[in-house]
Amino acid sequence: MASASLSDTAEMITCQGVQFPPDPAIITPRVATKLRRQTYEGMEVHGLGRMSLEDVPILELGAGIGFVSSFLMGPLRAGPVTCVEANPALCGYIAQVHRANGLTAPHPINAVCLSDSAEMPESRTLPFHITDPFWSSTLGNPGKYPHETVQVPTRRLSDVIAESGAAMIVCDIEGAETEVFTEVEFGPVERVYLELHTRRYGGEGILRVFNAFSKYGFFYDQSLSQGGGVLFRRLPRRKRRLMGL
Amino acid sequence: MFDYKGLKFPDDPRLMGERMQQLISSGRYEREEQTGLPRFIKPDARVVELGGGIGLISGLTCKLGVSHMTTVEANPMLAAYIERLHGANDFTNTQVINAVALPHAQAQAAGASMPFYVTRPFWSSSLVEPKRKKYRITQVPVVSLEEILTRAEANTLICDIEGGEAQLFDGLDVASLRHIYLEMHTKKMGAEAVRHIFSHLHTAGFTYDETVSNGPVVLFSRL
Repeated sequence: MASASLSDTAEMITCQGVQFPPDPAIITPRVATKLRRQTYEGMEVHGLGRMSLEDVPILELGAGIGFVSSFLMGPLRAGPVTCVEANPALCGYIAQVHRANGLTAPHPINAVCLSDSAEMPESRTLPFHITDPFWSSTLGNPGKYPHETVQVPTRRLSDVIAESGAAMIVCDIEGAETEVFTEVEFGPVERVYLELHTRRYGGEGILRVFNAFSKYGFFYDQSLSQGGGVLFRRLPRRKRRLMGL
Repeated sequence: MFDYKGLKFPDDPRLMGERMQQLISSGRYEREEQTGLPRFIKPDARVVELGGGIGLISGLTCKLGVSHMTTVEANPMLAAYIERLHGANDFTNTQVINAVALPHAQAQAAGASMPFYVTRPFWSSSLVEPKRKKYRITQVPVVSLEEILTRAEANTLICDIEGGEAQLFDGLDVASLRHIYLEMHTKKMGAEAVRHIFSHLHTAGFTYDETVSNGPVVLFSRL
Protein backbone atom coordinates (compact mmCIF):
# COMPACT_ATOMS: atom_id res chain seq x y z
CA MET A 1 0.00 0.00 0.00
CA ALA A 2 2.48 2.58 -1.21
CA SER A 3 -0.16 5.29 -1.52
CA ALA A 4 -1.20 4.83 2.11
CA SER A 5 2.34 5.18 3.40
CA LEU A 6 2.84 8.24 1.19
CA SER A 7 -0.24 9.96 2.59
CA ASP A 8 1.03 9.07 6.07
CA THR A 9 3.83 11.56 5.68
CA ALA A 10 2.32 13.96 3.16
CA GLU A 11 0.09 15.81 5.56
CA MET A 12 0.72 18.21 8.41
CA ILE A 13 1.46 16.39 11.66
CA THR A 14 0.69 17.94 15.04
CA CYS A 15 2.79 17.13 18.11
CA GLN A 16 2.20 18.85 21.46
CA GLY A 17 0.47 21.71 19.66
CA VAL A 18 3.27 22.19 17.10
CA GLN A 19 2.52 21.61 13.40
CA PHE A 20 5.04 19.98 11.08
CA PRO A 21 4.74 20.43 7.31
CA PRO A 22 5.49 17.34 5.21
CA ASP A 23 9.03 16.87 3.92
CA PRO A 24 9.82 13.27 2.98
CA ALA A 25 13.58 13.76 3.45
CA ILE A 26 13.18 15.01 7.02
CA ILE A 27 9.82 13.80 8.31
CA THR A 28 10.58 10.18 7.52
CA PRO A 29 8.07 7.51 8.61
CA ARG A 30 10.12 6.95 11.76
CA VAL A 31 10.11 10.64 12.71
CA ALA A 32 6.42 10.89 11.80
CA THR A 33 5.59 8.02 14.13
CA LYS A 34 7.40 9.65 17.05
CA LEU A 35 5.64 12.93 16.40
CA ARG A 36 2.20 11.33 16.11
CA ARG A 37 2.71 9.41 19.34
CA GLN A 38 3.51 12.76 21.00
CA THR A 39 6.69 11.21 22.39
CA TYR A 40 9.20 13.30 20.45
CA GLU A 41 11.61 14.99 22.91
CA GLY A 42 9.30 13.97 25.74
CA MET A 43 11.79 14.84 28.44
CA GLU A 44 12.27 18.38 27.18
CA VAL A 45 8.52 18.89 26.91
CA HIS A 46 8.12 17.70 30.50
CA GLY A 47 11.01 19.76 31.89
CA LEU A 48 10.49 22.98 29.95
CA GLY A 49 6.71 22.79 30.32
CA ARG A 50 7.06 23.37 34.07
CA MET A 51 9.10 26.57 33.74
CA SER A 52 7.74 30.07 33.45
CA LEU A 53 9.23 31.31 30.20
CA GLU A 54 6.81 33.94 28.98
CA ASP A 55 8.68 36.53 26.88
CA VAL A 56 12.06 35.06 27.85
CA PRO A 57 14.46 35.29 24.86
CA ILE A 58 16.11 31.93 24.34
CA LEU A 59 19.08 30.51 22.45
CA GLU A 60 18.67 26.91 21.36
CA LEU A 61 21.73 24.84 20.52
CA GLY A 62 20.91 21.75 18.49
CA ALA A 63 17.55 22.86 17.18
CA GLY A 64 16.76 19.69 15.20
CA ILE A 65 13.47 19.98 13.31
CA GLY A 66 12.37 23.08 15.24
CA PHE A 67 10.11 21.27 17.64
CA VAL A 68 11.49 22.60 20.93
CA SER A 69 11.80 26.18 19.65
CA SER A 70 8.20 26.09 18.39
CA PHE A 71 7.00 24.54 21.64
CA LEU A 72 8.81 27.31 23.53
CA MET A 73 7.44 30.17 21.43
CA GLY A 74 3.98 28.66 20.92
CA PRO A 75 2.41 26.90 23.92
CA LEU A 76 4.97 28.26 26.43
CA ARG A 77 4.89 31.82 24.98
CA ALA A 78 8.64 32.32 25.35
CA GLY A 79 10.32 35.27 23.62
CA PRO A 80 12.05 34.83 20.28
CA VAL A 81 14.13 31.65 20.08
CA THR A 82 17.40 31.88 18.17
CA CYS A 83 18.06 28.42 16.77
CA VAL A 84 21.53 27.08 16.06
CA GLU A 85 21.68 23.85 14.08
CA ALA A 86 24.75 22.23 12.54
CA ASN A 87 22.83 20.25 9.94
CA PRO A 88 22.28 22.68 7.02
CA ALA A 89 19.34 20.68 5.66
CA LEU A 90 17.44 21.15 8.91
CA CYS A 91 17.92 24.94 9.10
CA GLY A 92 15.57 25.61 6.20
CA TYR A 93 13.04 23.18 7.60
CA ILE A 94 13.10 24.83 11.05
CA ALA A 95 12.22 28.16 9.41
CA GLN A 96 9.39 26.42 7.58
CA VAL A 97 8.05 24.95 10.85
CA HIS A 98 8.15 28.36 12.50
CA ARG A 99 6.20 29.86 9.58
CA ALA A 100 3.67 27.05 9.58
CA ASN A 101 3.00 27.75 13.24
CA GLY A 102 2.75 31.52 12.77
CA LEU A 103 5.85 32.16 14.86
CA THR A 104 8.31 34.99 14.34
CA ALA A 105 11.92 34.07 15.01
CA PRO A 106 15.35 34.90 13.60
CA HIS A 107 16.40 32.64 10.71
CA PRO A 108 18.17 29.56 12.16
CA ILE A 109 21.94 29.86 12.27
CA ASN A 110 23.77 27.04 10.52
CA ALA A 111 26.83 26.64 12.71
CA VAL A 112 28.76 24.63 15.24
CA CYS A 113 29.46 26.67 18.38
CA LEU A 114 32.88 26.69 19.99
CA SER A 115 34.09 27.58 23.45
CA ASP A 116 36.36 30.66 23.71
CA SER A 117 39.27 28.36 24.50
CA ALA A 118 38.75 26.06 21.49
CA GLU A 119 41.05 26.54 18.55
CA MET A 120 39.25 28.22 15.66
CA PRO A 121 40.04 26.14 12.55
CA GLU A 122 41.65 28.10 9.71
CA SER A 123 38.84 27.14 7.34
CA ARG A 124 36.33 28.28 10.00
CA THR A 125 34.48 25.03 9.43
CA LEU A 126 34.38 21.64 11.10
CA PRO A 127 33.30 18.25 9.77
CA PHE A 128 29.87 17.29 11.07
CA HIS A 129 28.51 13.77 10.66
CA ILE A 130 24.86 13.68 9.65
CA THR A 131 23.30 10.38 10.63
CA ASP A 132 20.06 8.63 9.89
CA PRO A 133 18.11 9.26 12.11
CA PHE A 134 19.15 12.91 12.15
CA TRP A 135 18.88 13.23 15.95
CA SER A 136 22.12 11.32 16.47
CA SER A 137 24.14 13.58 14.17
CA THR A 138 27.38 14.59 15.84
CA LEU A 139 30.79 16.27 15.66
CA GLY A 140 32.16 13.17 17.35
CA ASN A 141 32.10 9.56 16.36
CA PRO A 142 28.80 8.67 14.63
CA GLY A 143 29.32 5.06 15.71
CA LYS A 144 27.02 2.48 14.20
CA TYR A 145 24.83 4.95 12.34
CA PRO A 146 25.04 5.39 8.55
CA HIS A 147 26.14 8.95 7.91
CA GLU A 148 27.39 11.58 5.51
CA THR A 149 29.89 14.23 6.48
CA VAL A 150 29.49 17.95 5.73
CA GLN A 151 31.63 20.99 6.56
CA VAL A 152 29.79 23.35 8.90
CA PRO A 153 30.72 26.96 9.75
CA THR A 154 32.10 27.52 13.27
CA ARG A 155 31.07 30.37 15.58
CA ARG A 156 32.13 31.38 19.08
CA LEU A 157 29.30 30.60 21.50
CA SER A 158 30.05 33.84 23.37
CA ASP A 159 29.38 35.85 20.18
CA VAL A 160 26.17 33.98 19.44
CA ILE A 161 24.93 34.59 23.00
CA ALA A 162 25.71 38.31 22.72
CA GLU A 163 23.93 38.64 19.36
CA SER A 164 20.87 36.70 20.49
CA GLY A 165 20.41 38.62 23.75
CA ALA A 166 19.22 35.34 25.26
CA ALA A 167 18.42 35.04 28.96
CA MET A 168 18.29 31.27 28.70
CA ILE A 169 19.99 28.51 26.72
CA VAL A 170 18.35 25.22 25.79
CA CYS A 171 20.93 22.71 24.63
CA ASP A 172 20.77 19.23 23.14
CA ILE A 173 23.95 18.67 21.14
CA GLU A 174 24.70 14.96 21.49
CA GLY A 175 27.82 15.16 23.60
CA ALA A 176 29.43 18.41 22.49
CA GLU A 177 28.22 19.97 25.78
CA THR A 178 31.42 18.72 27.44
CA GLU A 179 33.46 21.11 25.29
CA VAL A 180 31.39 24.12 24.33
CA PHE A 181 30.78 25.54 27.83
CA THR A 182 34.34 25.39 29.18
CA GLU A 183 35.12 29.07 28.39
CA VAL A 184 32.10 31.23 27.67
CA GLU A 185 30.95 34.80 28.20
CA PHE A 186 27.45 34.01 29.47
CA GLY A 187 26.34 37.66 29.57
CA PRO A 188 22.64 37.89 30.48
CA VAL A 189 22.10 34.11 30.49
CA GLU A 190 20.57 33.07 33.83
CA ARG A 191 19.39 29.55 33.02
CA VAL A 192 20.73 26.67 30.94
CA TYR A 193 18.54 23.65 30.31
CA LEU A 194 20.82 20.89 29.19
CA GLU A 195 20.31 17.41 27.88
CA LEU A 196 23.15 15.25 29.22
CA HIS A 197 24.54 12.32 27.21
CA THR A 198 26.34 10.15 29.76
CA ARG A 199 26.30 7.21 27.33
CA ARG A 200 28.55 9.16 24.99
CA TYR A 201 31.14 10.49 27.43
CA GLY A 202 30.75 8.69 30.77
CA GLY A 203 31.33 10.15 34.20
CA GLU A 204 34.39 12.13 33.07
CA GLY A 205 32.25 14.07 30.64
CA ILE A 206 29.62 14.74 33.33
CA LEU A 207 32.38 16.18 35.51
CA ARG A 208 33.49 18.49 32.72
CA VAL A 209 29.95 19.76 32.21
CA PHE A 210 29.18 20.35 35.90
CA ASN A 211 32.59 21.90 36.57
CA ALA A 212 32.20 24.29 33.67
CA PHE A 213 28.86 25.54 34.95
CA SER A 214 30.05 25.66 38.54
CA LYS A 215 32.95 27.89 37.47
CA TYR A 216 30.47 30.47 36.18
CA GLY A 217 28.31 30.36 39.32
CA PHE A 218 25.57 28.06 38.06
CA PHE A 219 23.97 25.47 40.33
CA TYR A 220 21.76 22.39 39.88
CA ASP A 221 18.12 23.45 40.13
CA GLN A 222 16.40 20.62 41.99
CA SER A 223 12.90 21.81 41.22
CA LEU A 224 13.19 21.39 37.45
CA SER A 225 15.93 18.84 36.79
CA GLN A 226 15.17 15.23 36.09
CA GLY A 227 17.57 12.51 34.97
CA GLY A 228 19.39 13.60 31.83
CA GLY A 229 17.51 16.90 31.65
CA VAL A 230 19.29 19.29 34.00
CA LEU A 231 18.48 22.92 34.65
CA PHE A 232 21.48 24.99 35.69
CA ARG A 233 20.50 28.28 37.28
CA ARG A 234 22.96 31.09 37.86
CA LEU A 235 23.52 32.60 41.31
CA PRO A 236 22.56 36.29 41.45
CA ARG A 237 25.34 38.65 40.31
CA ARG A 238 25.76 40.07 43.84
CA LYS A 239 26.43 36.60 45.27
CA ARG A 240 28.76 35.71 42.43
CA ARG A 241 30.80 38.82 43.11
CA LEU A 242 31.02 38.00 46.83
CA MET A 243 32.28 34.54 45.92
CA GLY A 244 34.78 35.93 43.44
CA LEU A 245 33.11 34.28 40.44
CA MET B 1 -0.38 -3.68 61.04
CA PHE B 2 -0.31 -1.52 57.94
CA ASP B 3 1.30 -2.80 54.74
CA TYR B 4 2.90 -0.91 51.83
CA LYS B 5 4.69 -2.69 48.97
CA GLY B 6 5.01 -5.73 51.24
CA LEU B 7 6.61 -3.64 53.98
CA LYS B 8 4.87 -3.96 57.36
CA PHE B 9 4.47 -0.84 59.49
CA PRO B 10 3.80 -1.65 63.19
CA ASP B 11 0.84 0.11 64.80
CA ASP B 12 1.65 3.31 66.62
CA PRO B 13 -1.08 5.86 67.31
CA ARG B 14 1.38 8.78 67.48
CA LEU B 15 3.44 8.00 64.37
CA MET B 16 1.31 5.80 62.17
CA GLY B 17 -2.05 7.52 62.27
CA GLU B 18 -4.60 7.37 59.50
CA ARG B 19 -3.19 10.40 57.65
CA MET B 20 0.32 9.00 57.67
CA GLN B 21 -0.99 5.66 56.39
CA GLN B 22 -2.87 7.42 53.61
CA LEU B 23 0.20 9.43 52.66
CA ILE B 24 2.35 6.33 52.44
CA SER B 25 -0.31 4.30 50.59
CA SER B 26 -0.64 7.04 47.99
CA GLY B 27 3.01 6.49 47.03
CA ARG B 28 3.65 10.24 47.28
CA TYR B 29 5.70 10.07 50.46
CA GLU B 30 9.39 10.28 49.46
CA ARG B 31 8.29 9.34 45.95
CA GLU B 32 11.46 10.33 44.08
CA GLU B 33 13.63 8.61 46.65
CA GLN B 34 11.56 5.42 46.40
CA THR B 35 11.66 5.38 42.59
CA GLY B 36 15.43 5.58 42.37
CA LEU B 37 16.33 2.92 44.96
CA PRO B 38 15.88 -0.25 42.86
CA ARG B 39 17.98 1.29 40.07
CA PHE B 40 21.22 1.14 42.05
CA ILE B 41 20.76 -0.93 45.24
CA LYS B 42 22.46 -4.30 44.74
CA PRO B 43 22.64 -7.33 47.06
CA ASP B 44 26.21 -6.48 48.09
CA ALA B 45 25.22 -2.96 49.19
CA ARG B 46 26.27 -2.04 52.71
CA VAL B 47 24.18 1.01 53.45
CA VAL B 48 24.40 3.77 56.01
CA GLU B 49 21.31 5.95 56.07
CA LEU B 50 21.26 9.36 57.72
CA GLY B 51 17.80 10.60 58.61
CA GLY B 52 15.77 7.42 58.84
CA GLY B 53 12.41 9.13 59.45
CA ILE B 54 9.57 6.67 59.74
CA GLY B 55 11.69 3.84 58.31
CA LEU B 56 10.13 3.75 54.85
CA ILE B 57 13.37 4.13 52.87
CA SER B 58 15.41 1.79 55.06
CA GLY B 59 12.57 -0.73 54.95
CA LEU B 60 12.26 -0.61 51.16
CA THR B 61 16.03 -0.81 50.81
CA CYS B 62 16.12 -3.91 53.01
CA LYS B 63 13.25 -5.38 50.98
CA LEU B 64 15.34 -4.99 47.83
CA GLY B 65 17.96 -7.14 49.53
CA VAL B 66 21.16 -5.67 50.90
CA SER B 67 24.16 -7.01 52.73
CA HIS B 68 23.70 -4.65 55.67
CA MET B 69 21.70 -1.58 56.65
CA THR B 70 22.60 0.95 59.33
CA THR B 71 20.06 3.68 59.98
CA VAL B 72 20.95 6.79 61.95
CA GLU B 73 18.02 8.82 63.25
CA ALA B 74 18.26 11.75 65.68
CA ASN B 75 14.67 11.63 66.92
CA PRO B 76 14.54 8.97 69.69
CA MET B 77 10.87 8.19 69.08
CA LEU B 78 11.48 7.55 65.38
CA ALA B 79 14.65 5.55 66.03
CA ALA B 80 12.65 3.24 68.31
CA TYR B 81 9.91 2.92 65.69
CA ILE B 82 12.39 2.02 62.91
CA GLU B 83 13.78 -0.71 65.13
CA ARG B 84 10.25 -2.10 65.60
CA LEU B 85 9.67 -1.88 61.84
CA HIS B 86 12.85 -3.82 61.10
CA GLY B 87 11.80 -6.43 63.66
CA ALA B 88 8.27 -6.74 62.30
CA ASN B 89 9.69 -7.42 58.84
CA ASP B 90 12.28 -9.92 60.11
CA PHE B 91 15.21 -7.86 58.85
CA THR B 92 18.21 -9.18 60.74
CA ASN B 93 21.13 -7.51 59.00
CA THR B 94 20.22 -4.06 60.33
CA GLN B 95 21.22 -1.63 63.02
CA VAL B 96 19.46 1.53 64.21
CA ILE B 97 21.48 4.24 65.93
CA ASN B 98 19.78 7.08 67.78
CA ALA B 99 22.29 9.85 67.22
CA VAL B 100 23.40 12.75 65.08
CA ALA B 101 26.24 11.66 62.80
CA LEU B 102 28.71 14.36 61.80
CA PRO B 103 32.08 14.30 60.03
CA HIS B 104 34.74 13.45 62.59
CA ALA B 105 36.15 16.96 63.11
CA GLN B 106 32.67 18.49 63.41
CA ALA B 107 31.61 15.75 65.84
CA GLN B 108 34.61 16.45 68.07
CA ALA B 109 33.88 20.16 68.05
CA ALA B 110 30.20 19.54 68.91
CA GLY B 111 30.87 17.49 72.07
CA ALA B 112 29.04 14.44 73.37
CA SER B 113 25.52 15.58 72.59
CA MET B 114 23.67 18.39 70.89
CA PRO B 115 20.17 19.84 70.88
CA PHE B 116 17.78 18.46 68.27
CA TYR B 117 14.56 20.33 67.52
CA VAL B 118 11.62 17.97 67.25
CA THR B 119 8.64 19.33 65.32
CA ARG B 120 5.25 18.07 64.16
CA PRO B 121 5.11 16.65 61.59
CA PHE B 122 8.32 14.84 62.44
CA TRP B 123 9.86 15.18 58.98
CA SER B 124 10.81 18.82 59.53
CA SER B 125 12.71 18.09 62.76
CA SER B 126 16.14 19.60 62.54
CA LEU B 127 19.47 20.49 64.15
CA VAL B 128 18.64 24.10 63.34
CA GLU B 129 16.10 25.92 65.49
CA PRO B 130 12.86 26.12 63.47
CA LYS B 131 11.75 29.70 62.85
CA ARG B 132 8.05 29.22 62.31
CA LYS B 133 7.20 25.85 63.79
CA LYS B 134 6.56 24.82 67.39
CA TYR B 135 9.21 22.46 68.66
CA ARG B 136 10.59 20.74 71.69
CA ILE B 137 14.28 20.20 72.30
CA THR B 138 15.86 16.86 72.97
CA GLN B 139 19.56 16.24 73.57
CA VAL B 140 20.91 13.68 71.12
CA PRO B 141 24.27 11.87 71.24
CA VAL B 142 26.79 12.96 68.61
CA VAL B 143 28.75 10.29 66.78
CA SER B 144 31.50 10.40 64.18
CA LEU B 145 30.16 9.58 60.72
CA GLU B 146 33.53 8.16 59.66
CA GLU B 147 33.40 5.73 62.57
CA ILE B 148 29.92 4.60 61.58
CA LEU B 149 30.93 4.20 57.93
CA THR B 150 34.02 2.21 58.92
CA ARG B 151 32.24 -0.02 61.41
CA ALA B 152 29.44 -0.71 58.92
CA GLU B 153 31.98 -1.28 56.10
CA ALA B 154 29.63 0.94 54.14
CA ASN B 155 29.77 1.32 50.37
CA THR B 156 26.51 3.27 50.07
CA LEU B 157 25.33 6.42 51.86
CA ILE B 158 21.68 7.48 51.80
CA CYS B 159 21.00 10.88 53.23
CA ASP B 160 17.87 12.93 53.89
CA ILE B 161 18.69 15.38 56.67
CA GLU B 162 16.71 18.54 55.95
CA GLY B 163 19.55 20.81 54.85
CA GLY B 164 22.19 19.31 57.16
CA GLU B 165 23.81 17.99 53.97
CA ALA B 166 25.20 21.48 53.30
CA GLN B 167 28.28 20.88 55.47
CA LEU B 168 28.15 17.10 55.66
CA PHE B 169 30.84 16.45 53.07
CA ASP B 170 33.36 19.01 54.29
CA GLY B 171 36.35 16.98 55.37
CA LEU B 172 34.42 13.70 55.22
CA ASP B 173 36.40 10.72 54.01
CA VAL B 174 34.22 9.12 51.32
CA ALA B 175 36.89 6.80 49.89
CA SER B 176 34.99 3.61 50.77
CA LEU B 177 31.73 4.73 49.16
CA ARG B 178 30.57 4.02 45.64
CA HIS B 179 27.11 5.60 45.87
CA ILE B 180 25.84 8.68 47.67
CA TYR B 181 22.07 9.04 47.39
CA LEU B 182 21.22 12.51 48.53
CA GLU B 183 18.00 14.40 48.97
CA MET B 184 18.71 18.10 48.45
CA HIS B 185 16.93 20.83 50.41
CA THR B 186 17.80 23.90 48.36
CA LYS B 187 15.19 26.11 50.05
CA LYS B 188 16.65 25.41 53.47
CA MET B 189 20.35 25.58 52.68
CA GLY B 190 20.49 27.98 49.74
CA ALA B 191 21.77 27.66 46.19
CA GLU B 192 25.43 28.20 47.10
CA ALA B 193 25.31 25.10 49.27
CA VAL B 194 23.99 23.05 46.34
CA ARG B 195 26.81 24.27 44.16
CA HIS B 196 29.24 23.52 47.00
CA ILE B 197 28.01 19.93 47.44
CA PHE B 198 28.26 19.19 43.71
CA SER B 199 31.77 20.68 43.44
CA HIS B 200 32.88 18.85 46.54
CA LEU B 201 31.59 15.43 45.50
CA HIS B 202 32.76 15.88 41.92
CA THR B 203 36.24 16.64 43.26
CA ALA B 204 36.03 13.56 45.50
CA GLY B 205 35.57 11.34 42.44
CA PHE B 206 31.78 11.09 42.24
CA THR B 207 29.56 12.15 39.35
CA TYR B 208 25.93 13.07 38.94
CA ASP B 209 24.18 9.89 37.81
CA GLU B 210 21.50 10.74 35.27
CA THR B 211 20.04 7.24 35.25
CA VAL B 212 18.74 7.61 38.81
CA SER B 213 18.69 11.31 39.78
CA ASN B 214 15.32 12.99 39.82
CA GLY B 215 14.76 16.54 41.02
CA PRO B 216 15.66 16.86 44.70
CA VAL B 217 17.02 13.32 44.87
CA VAL B 218 20.47 13.00 43.33
CA LEU B 219 22.58 9.89 43.02
CA PHE B 220 26.31 10.50 42.96
CA SER B 221 28.16 7.46 41.66
CA ARG B 222 31.87 6.86 41.88
CA LEU B 223 33.72 7.50 38.64
